[in-house]
Amino acid sequence: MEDILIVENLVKHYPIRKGVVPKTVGYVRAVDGVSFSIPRGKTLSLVGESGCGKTTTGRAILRLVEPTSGRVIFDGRDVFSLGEREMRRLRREMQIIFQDPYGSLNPRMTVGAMLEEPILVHGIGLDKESNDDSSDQPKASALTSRRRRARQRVAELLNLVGLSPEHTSRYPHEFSGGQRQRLGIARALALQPKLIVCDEAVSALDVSIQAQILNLLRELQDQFDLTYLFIAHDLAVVKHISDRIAVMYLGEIVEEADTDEMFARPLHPYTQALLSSIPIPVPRGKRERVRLEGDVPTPIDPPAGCRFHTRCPIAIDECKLAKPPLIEIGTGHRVACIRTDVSADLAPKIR
Amino acid sequence: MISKSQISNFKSQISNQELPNDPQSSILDPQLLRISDLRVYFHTDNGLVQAVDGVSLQITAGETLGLVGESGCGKSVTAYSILKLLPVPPAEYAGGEINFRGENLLALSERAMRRVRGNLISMIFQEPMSSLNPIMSIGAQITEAIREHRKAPRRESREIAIDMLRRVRIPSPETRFHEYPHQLSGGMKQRAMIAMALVCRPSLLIADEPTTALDVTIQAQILELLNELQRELNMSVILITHDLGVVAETCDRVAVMYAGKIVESAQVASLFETPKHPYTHGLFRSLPTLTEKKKQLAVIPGAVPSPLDFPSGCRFRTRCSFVQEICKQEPVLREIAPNHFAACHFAEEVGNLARGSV
Ligand SMILES: Nc1ncnc2c1ncn2[C@@H]1O[C@H](COP(=O)(O)OP(=O)(O)O)[C@@H](O)[C@H]1O
Ligand SMILES: Nc1ncnc2c1ncn2[C@@H]1O[C@H](COP(=O)(O)OP(=O)(O)O)[C@@H](O)[C@H]1O
Ligand SMILES: [Mg+2]
Ligand SMILES: [Mg+2]
Repeated sequence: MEDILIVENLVKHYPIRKGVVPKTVGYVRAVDGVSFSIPRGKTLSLVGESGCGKTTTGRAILRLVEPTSGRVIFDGRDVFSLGEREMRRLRREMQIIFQDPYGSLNPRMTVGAMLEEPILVHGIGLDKESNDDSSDQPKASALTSRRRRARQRVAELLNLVGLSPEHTSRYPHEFSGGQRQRLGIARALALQPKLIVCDEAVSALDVSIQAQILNLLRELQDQFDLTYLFIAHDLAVVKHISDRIAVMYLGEIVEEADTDEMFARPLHPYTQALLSSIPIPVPRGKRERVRLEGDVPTPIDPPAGCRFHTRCPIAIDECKLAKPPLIEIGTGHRVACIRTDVSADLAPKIR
Repeated sequence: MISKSQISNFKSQISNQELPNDPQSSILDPQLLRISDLRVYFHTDNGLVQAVDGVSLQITAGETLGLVGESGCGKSVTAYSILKLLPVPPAEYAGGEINFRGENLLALSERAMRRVRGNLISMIFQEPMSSLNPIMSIGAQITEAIREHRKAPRRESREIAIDMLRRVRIPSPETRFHEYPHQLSGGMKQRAMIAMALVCRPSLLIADEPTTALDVTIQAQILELLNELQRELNMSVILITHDLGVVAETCDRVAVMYAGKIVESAQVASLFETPKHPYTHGLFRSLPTLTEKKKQLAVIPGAVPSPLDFPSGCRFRTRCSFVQEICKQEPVLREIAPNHFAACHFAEEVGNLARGSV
C-alpha cells in the first residue's frame, strides 16, 4: 500500500535563550532524528512518556513548529520545501485534534459560524448540493447559494460527528467535554482532510465518552479513508485504534512494529516496561513487571550512547558507548537495542 | 449533638500517639470509618447541586477501598467532606454522619478537626503542588507537619523527616531535605507529598487521583510505594481513581459512584467478575482492553446528566438499556450477593449476564 506520509530523520531542537540580551545557551532536543511512514487509510500511534517528543513530532509534520531538519513527504509533496501559499493549501489536507478542544475553539463564535468560516474561505465541500430541505426554506432566496450550501454542509458535519443541526446556534461553553471533542472533530473534517493528527484526543475523556469518540474516529476513517497519526499515553486505547505503533523515548523512536506484533513480542526494554506498567482491569492479574528506576533524564543533555541506558534493567557497559541503530529484526519490526537476545526472553512473560 | 466531654475525650485520644493502632478501638467498632447517608450540597447561582446525595461507605483497618466513577460524580466532594475541607457556603453538609473510630467528624469543631487532619487522617492529591509550599524546603515542610501534631524536639523531627523521605524512596534524603519543590521531578514531588502526608502515621490515607497525571512507569512506582507503606504503617486507604485497572491491581474493595450516589460496591474480584449495576456493566464493556480485539466498543449512550438536573428515581435511567417504568422509583443499595451491593431494580438480572456480553 502507498504511504501517504513519510517522515525522514525529523529533528526539532528548541533553543534555550537566557540573559538580558537573549543568547542561545543550549537546545531542548525534543525530536532527534525520527523516521516512520503511514500507509493511506491506516493509523500509526506514537507512544511514550510525557516530554518524549510526541506532540512536537506531530506539530513539526504540520509545520505548526518549524522543524530543525529532516524531510516530510505528504501525499507526494515535500512539505518543508513548500512556500507559504502552497503550505496553506496543504494544511487543509492535514488537520489536528487536541486533547482539550475547548482551548482551540473560539468562545465567542457559534458552532455554525465556526464551522462555516473555513468552508466558505476554502470553498470546500460546496460543489454538491443536497436537496433534502431546499423545499421548505422560504428564506433561502435571501442567502447566496454558496452560503446556503455551506449551512447544509455544517448540518452534515454535525450529523457526521453525532451532534444535531440544532446545535448550530450554540456556543462552545454550552457543550460537555465529549461534545466539544465532537466539535473539534467536526472542525477538522470540515476541510475534508486526508490526514488527522489526534494529539491525546481522547485522553481527558471519561471511559464511557472515550468509547463513543473512539468509535466515531473509526467510522470516519472507514468512511473517508482517513489516515491518523494518533498520539496517546493510554496503551489500551492505542492497541484498540492502531495498525502500527512507534515507541518514543527522549526524542527518538526505540521500537516500531505492527500493533499485534508489538504487544505479542515487545523487544526494547523500554517498551517492555511501558507495557508491563499498564494496570489491567482484571483482579488478581498480577503480572511480571519490568521495573524502571528513576525518572526520564532531561532532553537538554540526553545520556550518551543508548539514551535509555540510565534506566535500563539490562544495560551493559557497551550501551553507554554507542547509540544502537534502529534495525529491522522481523517483518516491519524495528528495534534500537543491542540486548534483544536477553530481552527476547522477557517478552512473553510481561503480557 | 456531640457533648463537650466527648470532644475533650476525643482530643485526649488523638493526642495519644499510640492510638492509631490501638486494638481497643477496633473492638468497639470493626469499621475504622463509617459514612452513613452523607449529603453534601452546593448552593450555586444556577441552583442546588446535590453533589453527594446519600452516600454510605465503610472502611476497615488496613483495607484499601477504591472509589471510582466518572468526573463530576462526587468522588472528591466525598473525600473532602471526610476532612471537612469544603468551603461553607457554597457547600452545605446537609445530612448524614462520618464516624471515625466512633466519633462523628461532621460534628467536630474546626479546632478539633485540625488535630485530625494530617495526623489521624491524611490526604494526597493529583497535583503535588496543592499540598507543597513552593517557597519552603521539603525538609522544613515535613518537619512543620510533624511539629504541628507532636511535641518533638527539632533534631528528632529532622531525623523523622529524613527517615520518611527514605521510606518514600527519595534518593539521598539528607540532601533532598534542603531542596525546594521546584528542584524535584514530577515523580519525586509526588513522593515528597506522600512523605508529608504519612509522617504522622495516620490510620487513614485518602488519595485523590494520586497518579492520574503521571506516566505509567512512574504510576507503577508510586502505587507500589503506597502499597508498601500501607502495610508498613498498617493504614487504611481510600483510593479515588477513574482507572479500573488501578483499582484491580491495588484495592481490596471498590465502590462505584454515579451522579452523587453509590450505585455498586463489592470486593474487587466480585465486582469485576460479575458487575450487578448496569452502569458498572456498561463501563467494563466500553473499556478498550489489551486482551480482546473489538472493532467497535460498546458504548453507554448519552452523557452524565447535569447535577442541576438529575433525573428522578434512578439517576442512571436516562442512559440505561435495562430501563423500565419502575426505574422512576429510586432503587435502594441492596445486598445482591454476599457483601456485594447494588442500587438497581434489575441487579439480579444484570449480575447473571456474563461480563462483556449483553
Ligand atoms: N515551545 C517549546 N520550547 C521549548 N521546549 C519545548 C517546547 N515545546 C516542547 N518543549 C520540550 O520538548 C520536549 C518534548 O515535548 P513534547 O513534544 O510536548 O512531548 P510529549 O508530547 O511527548 O509530551 C519536552 O522536553 C518539552 O519540555
Ligand atoms: N465548590 C463547588 N461549587 C459548586 N459545585 C461544586 C463545587 N465543588 C464541586 N462541585 C460539584 O460537585 C459535583 C461533584 O464534584 P467532584 O466531587 O469534584 O467530582 P469528581 O467525582 O470528579 O471528583 C460536580 O457536579 C461539581 O461540579
Ligand atoms: Mg504531548
Ligand atoms: Mg475529583
